Amino acid sequence: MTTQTAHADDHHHEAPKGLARWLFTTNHKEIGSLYLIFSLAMFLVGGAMAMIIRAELFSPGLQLVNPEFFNQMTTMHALVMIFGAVMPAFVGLANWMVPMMIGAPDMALPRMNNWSFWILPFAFLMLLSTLFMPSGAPASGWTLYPPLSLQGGNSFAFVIFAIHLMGISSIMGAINIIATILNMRAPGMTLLRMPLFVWTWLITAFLLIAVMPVLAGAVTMLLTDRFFDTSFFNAAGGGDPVMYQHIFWFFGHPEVYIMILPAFGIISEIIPTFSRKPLFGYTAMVYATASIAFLSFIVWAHHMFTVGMPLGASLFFMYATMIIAVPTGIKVFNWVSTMWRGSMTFETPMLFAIAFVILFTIGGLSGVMLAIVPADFQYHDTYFVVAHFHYVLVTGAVFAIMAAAYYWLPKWTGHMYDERLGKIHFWWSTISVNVLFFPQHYLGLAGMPRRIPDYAVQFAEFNMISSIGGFAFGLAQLLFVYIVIKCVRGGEKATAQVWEGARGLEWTVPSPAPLHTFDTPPLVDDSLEHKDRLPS
Amino acid sequence: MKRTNEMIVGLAMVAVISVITWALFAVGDNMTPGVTPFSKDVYQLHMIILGIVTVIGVLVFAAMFTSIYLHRKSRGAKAAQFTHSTKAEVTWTVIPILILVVMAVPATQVLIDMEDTSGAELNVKVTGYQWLWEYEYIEDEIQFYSALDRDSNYARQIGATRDPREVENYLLEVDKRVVLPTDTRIRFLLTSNDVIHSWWVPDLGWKRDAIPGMVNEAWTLIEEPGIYRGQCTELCGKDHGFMPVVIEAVTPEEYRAWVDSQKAEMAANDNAAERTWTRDELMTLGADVYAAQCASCHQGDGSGLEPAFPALAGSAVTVGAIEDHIDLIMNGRPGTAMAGFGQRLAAEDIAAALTYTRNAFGNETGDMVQPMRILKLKNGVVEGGVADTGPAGL
Amino acid sequence: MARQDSNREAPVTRRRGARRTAVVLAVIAGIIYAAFIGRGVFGG
Repeated sequence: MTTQTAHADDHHHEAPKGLARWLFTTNHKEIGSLYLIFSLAMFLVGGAMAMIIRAELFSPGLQLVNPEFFNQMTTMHALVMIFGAVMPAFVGLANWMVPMMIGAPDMALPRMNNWSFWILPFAFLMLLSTLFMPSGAPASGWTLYPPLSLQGGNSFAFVIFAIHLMGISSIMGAINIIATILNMRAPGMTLLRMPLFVWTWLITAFLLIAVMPVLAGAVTMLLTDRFFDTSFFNAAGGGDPVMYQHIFWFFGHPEVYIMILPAFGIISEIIPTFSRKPLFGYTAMVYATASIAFLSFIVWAHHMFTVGMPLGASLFFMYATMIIAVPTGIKVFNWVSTMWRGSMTFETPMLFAIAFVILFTIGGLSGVMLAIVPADFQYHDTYFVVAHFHYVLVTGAVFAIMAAAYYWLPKWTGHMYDERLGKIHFWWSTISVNVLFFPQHYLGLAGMPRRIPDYAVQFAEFNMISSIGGFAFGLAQLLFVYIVIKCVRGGEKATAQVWEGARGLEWTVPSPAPLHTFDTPPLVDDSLEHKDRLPS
Repeated sequence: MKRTNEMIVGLAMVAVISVITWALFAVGDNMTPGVTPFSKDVYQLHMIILGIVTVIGVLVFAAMFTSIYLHRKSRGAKAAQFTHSTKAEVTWTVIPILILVVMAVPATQVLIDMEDTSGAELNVKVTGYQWLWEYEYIEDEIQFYSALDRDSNYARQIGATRDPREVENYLLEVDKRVVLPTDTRIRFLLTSNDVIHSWWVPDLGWKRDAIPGMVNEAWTLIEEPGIYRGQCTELCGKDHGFMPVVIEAVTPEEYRAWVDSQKAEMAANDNAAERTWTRDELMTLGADVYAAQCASCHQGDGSGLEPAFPALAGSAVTVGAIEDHIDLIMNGRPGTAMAGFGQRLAAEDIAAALTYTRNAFGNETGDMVQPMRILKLKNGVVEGGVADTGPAGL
Repeated sequence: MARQDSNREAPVTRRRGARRTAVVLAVIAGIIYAAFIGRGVFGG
């Protein structure tokens, strides 16, 4: 193995201290940390909104909030969680890990990297400020379907500007990641030697560049419809409200994979490490990821089977959607095969990874059910859908981020996290998240529509169970915050390799990783090649 | 030996996971089979797909837990070093494709059946409004609105003294049900007057969006008499959760009787707008109209929900010039959620609502608006073709 | 500038390549944005 000692950073000027250090940093590790901290903060903000939603739905009747505010909560919860928590968390992980995994000294465009991050706090400040404006936060769902979204007051302009800023941030982040991966790999780090996490991010970044401008276009047209008398989506003026849905979901479906492909990458790093066995079917995994990305562009209308599409279109989107099950299945089978006849241990990252595989699979299987158009006429816009996408986004994306945090925290901080607390966090989260979301399948099948602040009495029991699960899950995440802070402040010293079965360039640098790594590119040869990662 | 172990543990895992899965199905609710040929097809399709994905899930999880149980370091497992198998990859690509084909065939058949809306014996036009439904029986020339019933509406308010659990069919009852004949091929034409709504009765087996500027079609054939309840399923603003759909399916004979009674009622009201009404009559009708059409935004006591929905008690409009008030009610206020009611309501309803709001909530203007005045205006409005386009029509 | 980029030692060709990649990708993003607005303008 090529050993690379990251030498002390004796060659740069005195670093600024305090706030300026963080404001002006161009270092991928510091920016990665900023992204992750920001994401955690937004996770708590979005989580607080979810708590309000579940509290109102705890029993029938309106007790706490009025319906308008309830709608603002469901809308903001989604926007904050998607654009504020999940996406920045993945970008933060990419910032930290991609250069270290490919032996690059930093991201390709460090100053743009700084800008990509610092746009975000302002975007979210603007988005969240609408809660305190007279016309209130957006209340038309995160999809912002017109004509309903156009009924909002002037605060709508702030929402759209915030979304534009988030889009610019994402596009710049994605450009940076692609430029880094394509141009900054260490000698010998061929594409097919890259860790799966790098591969999934490369593909995700292309998705981002392809679809964030589409979202920007859609909301720009909403802006002009609302404030400048255009009629893109106004039927009375010759526009078409359904066209917005087509454009939105042309962005929206790839967006779903933007939030899950990096998660696939993380799981593909963690399972081999704790199985002490190389990843099974590395090339198949790469091709499966690419296929999912490609298919994500031709399935958008499965979000809108009930708008009244021609038969041929419905059939096409149904078949295309069903086909996605094939590459996704390949991934799950490969993870199980990686575990098969390994020598497994179950530290917290592995526990979250295993829970990911199981619970994401449940979400995937309900996704197959949703693809079936006639059945979707019943499932559509009910709690069945809510259960489905929370299984793939919470126990999928968020669990993968948790797994990644536990997996790489020792590398970032130089300390081991508290394993006992980590395990408590895992079990508490996993049990409560199922209490939270599994009954929502039943609610949807029994006929409860989504996005309603109050419900018929026959839905009371499962809503109460779901709310109790929700409160418990919310509380568990405060424990996570405590574990992270505790780990940053101290703990058992971590070794460079941290985990017995860990392989890859990031584990060859000391823990905590020094500010500058791989100033001199390491030489990569077969001993690091993913397919043949052998335990020494 | 290793293989034998894996087989035994694997079978045990299948058994355990099957029991857990069975328990999950046993405690929960399932989709309704419904009362139409479609809903039954959809239910069967749902059960087939659910069955297939459950079997897949059980097998995958059983393999995983077998591995977790046997191949752990604490049991002294040594890691094997195999990294790939083309045969395996091909297998788990081809088998899922075959399973998907098995699923796609019945799904396609059911979908093709559902899309054929020809041969309708009865056409019902459904129009969504924020937040009620309008029904028009095209052949029988009956038209009415259907909104959340008063008991539910009362119990759903924040701080209501009435417990929702004591309201029968809380949130799933309307002031006027949609009466439909059984064993009749009925075609629905769905559209909307403002934002997108979605019309759903689970027992019919489908939902369809009601979109402004577009007419969607769907059909049904109800096989059993009964009362079937559903809701709006597309977020349509603050009272999205409060616009139920209630169908009362009766035999064709009973349906004819209902049509006759509706026509008689309409005939009685036919020239209602042309006579002179008393204040009491207007106030009584006005209270009803206000409760059905206005109260969800402006609140039962006229206090409104600022800033989006102004108070009517003592407002510049309700105690101001009567012409402006009439104009606002007839044509709405563009750029806000205030729709125009000029085409939506009968002249006497508008006159009554005007009279009511100008004299209720402490607005003691003493004004009275006669239906005749509105009727004249209405005729003008219709001739001019000024349809209210809802708030989107900026 | 307060501090130097830690990739300053990366070979000049690689940095130039990275910039070229970034410009191409940004242009693609701009074209997609324009295309979808165009879809709205002309597609109605």
